[in-house]
Amino acid sequence: MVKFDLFFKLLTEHNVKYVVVGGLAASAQGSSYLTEDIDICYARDKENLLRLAEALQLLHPALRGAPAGLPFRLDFSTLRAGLNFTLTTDYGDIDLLGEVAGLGMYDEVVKFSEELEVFGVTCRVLTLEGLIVAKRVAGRAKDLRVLPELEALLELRRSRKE
Amino acid sequence: MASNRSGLTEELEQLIRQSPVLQRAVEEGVDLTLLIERLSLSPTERLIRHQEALAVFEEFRRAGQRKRGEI
Repeated sequence: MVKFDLFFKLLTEHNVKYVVVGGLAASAQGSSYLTEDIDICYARDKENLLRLAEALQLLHPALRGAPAGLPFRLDFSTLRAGLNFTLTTDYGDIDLLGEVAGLGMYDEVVKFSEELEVFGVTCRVLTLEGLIVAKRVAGRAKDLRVLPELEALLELRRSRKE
Repeated sequence: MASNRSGLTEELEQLIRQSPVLQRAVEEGVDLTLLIERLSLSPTERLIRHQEALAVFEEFRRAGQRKRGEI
């Protein structure tokens, strides 16, 4: 069972720099689509990799889809050597993205994000505008499917402000 | 708020008439009433609903697996 609340509290406690992206960001912005995993785009500076590794090690991460028993240790070196990781953890499936297609690395992604208060902690979450750009660029069927809804949400939100 | 036979409020029908984006969304099968309801919630409330819905899906998935003798 996914535990969104515990996951975000953990990252906050470890001062990890990240932006919630993907389906969960869409959900936080009002989308009705359900996703089972948590996608985050993380900053790749040394301090952040150390903090992220320290936090995630508490969740017994394993590579999703890898053969059982395959040795895997998510530490600073592993994070530095890779970019994107698909993990299964005690709190559910988590995707770590070093880069988001159409937006870029963390420093660019953060410009398309906003702070939201979720489960008592402050998280940076991709905006509807950022989600729409990323989904358009990704261009897979599953991305294009949610576009009409995201665009409608943006329109409804704007109409409320007028 | 009063709704008509299509289940939409007059206010929402007017919005749809004025917006090609909303018209396209309706044509694509997006339930705008669901979105309006979700926009009325806080981000935390939205994620709690998401988490609860996933738990229900998981329960049904397991029920199917039990029925098929997979677990």
